[in-house]
Amino acid sequence: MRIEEKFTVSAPADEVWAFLIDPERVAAALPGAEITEKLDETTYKGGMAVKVGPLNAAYTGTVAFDLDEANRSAAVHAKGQGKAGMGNADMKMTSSVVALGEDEAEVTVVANLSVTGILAQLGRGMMQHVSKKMFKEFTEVLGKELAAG
Amino acid sequence: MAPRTSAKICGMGHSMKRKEDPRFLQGKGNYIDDFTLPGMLWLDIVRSPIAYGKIVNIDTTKALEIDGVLAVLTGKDLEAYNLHWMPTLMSDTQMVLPTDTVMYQAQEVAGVIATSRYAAADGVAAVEVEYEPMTPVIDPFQALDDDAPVLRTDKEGQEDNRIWHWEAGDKEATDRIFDEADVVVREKMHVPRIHVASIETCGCLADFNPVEGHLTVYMTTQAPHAIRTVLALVAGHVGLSEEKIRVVSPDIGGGFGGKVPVYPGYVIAIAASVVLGKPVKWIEDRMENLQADSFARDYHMDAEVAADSSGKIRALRIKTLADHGYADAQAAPSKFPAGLFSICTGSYDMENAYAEVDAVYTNKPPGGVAYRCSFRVTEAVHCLERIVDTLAHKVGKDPATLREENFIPKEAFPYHSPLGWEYDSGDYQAAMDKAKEMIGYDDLRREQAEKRARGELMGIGVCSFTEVLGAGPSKDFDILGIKMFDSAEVRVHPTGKAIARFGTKSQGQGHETTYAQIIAEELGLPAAHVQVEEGDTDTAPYGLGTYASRSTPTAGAAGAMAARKIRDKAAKIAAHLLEVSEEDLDWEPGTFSVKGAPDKSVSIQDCAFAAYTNLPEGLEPGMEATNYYDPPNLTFPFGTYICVVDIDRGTGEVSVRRFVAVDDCGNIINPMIVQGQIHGGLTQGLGPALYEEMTYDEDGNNLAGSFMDYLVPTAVETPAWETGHTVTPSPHHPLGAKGVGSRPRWGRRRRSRMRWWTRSRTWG
Repeated sequence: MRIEEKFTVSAPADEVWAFLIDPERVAAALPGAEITEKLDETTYKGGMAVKVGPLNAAYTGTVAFDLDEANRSAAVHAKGQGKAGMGNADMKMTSSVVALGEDEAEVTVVANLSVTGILAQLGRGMMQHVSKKMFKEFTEVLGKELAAG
Repeated sequence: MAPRTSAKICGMGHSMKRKEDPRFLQGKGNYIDDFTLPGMLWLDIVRSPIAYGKIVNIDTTKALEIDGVLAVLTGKDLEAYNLHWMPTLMSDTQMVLPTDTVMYQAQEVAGVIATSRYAAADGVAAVEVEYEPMTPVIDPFQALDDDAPVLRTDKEGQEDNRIWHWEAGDKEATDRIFDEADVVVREKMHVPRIHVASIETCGCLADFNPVEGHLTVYMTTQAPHAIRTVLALVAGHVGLSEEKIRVVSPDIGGGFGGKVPVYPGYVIAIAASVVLGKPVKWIEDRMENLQADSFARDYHMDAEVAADSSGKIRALRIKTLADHGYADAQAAPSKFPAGLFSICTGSYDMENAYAEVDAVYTNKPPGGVAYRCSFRVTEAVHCLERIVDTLAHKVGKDPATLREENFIPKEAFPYHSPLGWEYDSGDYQAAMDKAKEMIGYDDLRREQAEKRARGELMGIGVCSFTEVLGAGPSKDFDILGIKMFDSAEVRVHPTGKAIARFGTKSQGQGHETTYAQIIAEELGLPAAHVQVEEGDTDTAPYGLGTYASRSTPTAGAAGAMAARKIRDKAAKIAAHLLEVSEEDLDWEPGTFSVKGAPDKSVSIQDCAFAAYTNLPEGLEPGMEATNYYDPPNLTFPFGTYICVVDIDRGTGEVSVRRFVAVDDCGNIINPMIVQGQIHGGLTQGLGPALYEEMTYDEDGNNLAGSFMDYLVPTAVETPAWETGHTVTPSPHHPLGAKGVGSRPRWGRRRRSRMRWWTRSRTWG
């Protein structure tokens, strides 16, 4: 499944960028996500739980970052093993931040998500919707955090 | 044909109400899940969420902590008994439980045994399996690419994903005709992967008695005797020998070929019962049934017809790719890897034909069952009828007319087809005439032309099929070496009532009624007085079971032959009772009378009583007979179906206005049951034409694994079928019957809609 999102944040591009490459802060802003261990400078262990219709999809796995600071672009690769026979999930995501003005930045996210097992079978009709909702919540938290900061 | 027997006797030709229905209609059937034994445990199965990958670790700790969970069986556990692999009916191999690799989504990974169904399910959710996913091979065409990964690395000498290559016919002679023919048409088509989706899922109750070393398995199987032999062959080394195995197949809620194969769940339940010494029950849920059990079809066919400019067919050429999934687990006769696909020349006379099939492995569930048809016959009929329509379109002829001009004439029977079959009998024009008359064909074509002129869409589909049923003659047909005869044992009691046992197994076809009618026809005993039993290997004679529409052609014939043996004996007794010689007797169903003195007579019941009380000297007491019937040939039923659909140009919605089905299945035993079989077959043909397909995404996820996505037609979608029949008896079957288990003859959706579209534009 391909996910494309674009949103603007009323904060300087550098601040938005700093937020997006901090796994702890991102996880805190994403409902259901957590970082449990830092494996090395760019790799973390963590978990993700999300409700898709009747399914409680919970994953544990790793997330790896590959940063292009000059272009404020981050390639993220998250791999998870589902609990209770849920199957696996694999997401390759690129996020980039472009300054629109001094206090405004645009974030573009392009992700390819592949899931196996029951989530792919029963949840595929709902996943776009769930992903939209998650981005909306994430953007709101991001906006609030940066405004407060 | 008027029935030969009275309504009281109810032999062939009577629409006797089904003897099994009172118990079904009152909810008193005995299905597998109705069986309960003291101390019974439950099995539930952990299944793979991924299509292909390595198993890194299976952690059963948390599952075993759950109250009621007694054991978790993995491939490693079965490996200790060498029971982690099993043979398929096609002599391929298949995992029971994996030790290191999973090969398709929903594959069995571990079995959880618990004291209740609920605890077992909780245990399944608590088993933690870590996988290392690998890129699956889903597209069967890509499976043959040079750089495709070899999936069956477990098989010695397997260097690619090809399972086998099969061909029939004279390739060179066929190619020569194609080179010189006036007209060649070609069409690629896919008969998609579908599922039998029977109401009852699969299951079993395995009961191993450790004291006596005796195993009883109650199980949803269409072939109980074959299962017993296979169990003895694969588990002989752990002490299961054939006299200590009893397989009981109770009432079955639909089989359609899907209950012929041996699924890992059965074997895990049996292994669990042997290991724990307790009865173990396993019942699939709906999603497991749809996702893991045998599929049907999945033939990618590239068909060509060569004809002269008038549309006279000269030759047929078909190249097929068959997607078999992870293993060749079809249920086909051993010498026929592509089933009876070579019936693909159908109802048409032609100079030559050549057909080839390549089978490949992919990361999908194994299978390839004869769903509602004889082995691969639906695929063959679909292929031929589609390409014949294409030819009609190309040469500008009405599709019915083109078919008629190519029919094998009725004088040509027995007809030798270019691919080697000897068709027993046929009158194709009669079936076509009747179908056209019933539906008012000429008026419909006129209406279609008018509608087309107004821009409205209306399609008329015609199909004239020939099938091949009744596998089969032992010289060619066997499964794992066991010849495909079938059997009957008839025993008449002193009071003139009888019990008849058969080697087949009804799954809703009404054997308890039709077999009783066959005995009634031959012996003159009322069918109501004949009790039919099947499915218990301890009591029924050995047979290969019920699938591929083989029961009437084989076991039905055996029943008639056994009854005739009894009648011969009854004649000796009648002669004794009437004090005349056997030659002086006349036979009317149920009565022997003296020639010229019809009032001097004895009934078959009198003879039965005398068989136990007053025998002629030298005659063996009792009145019973057994017959193992080895058919001399297959049977070749046929028919013509015509369908009218209206298509909404705005929405694309297809509505079936009328569907006329004229079948010729030879002599008919019970017209009501035959009609019911045809209604069922038509509805199961409508399914894949408009609703059903088992689809997978590129990761191998099953996208139709529940009834939310796998749409079967209900009464709402099903049109009112109009049926008719012609009767062309089979000359070699003792009753002249041909069999009628199979009738899904429908065009395919999307493409078929296009076809209707095309025709309505071109044809009027």
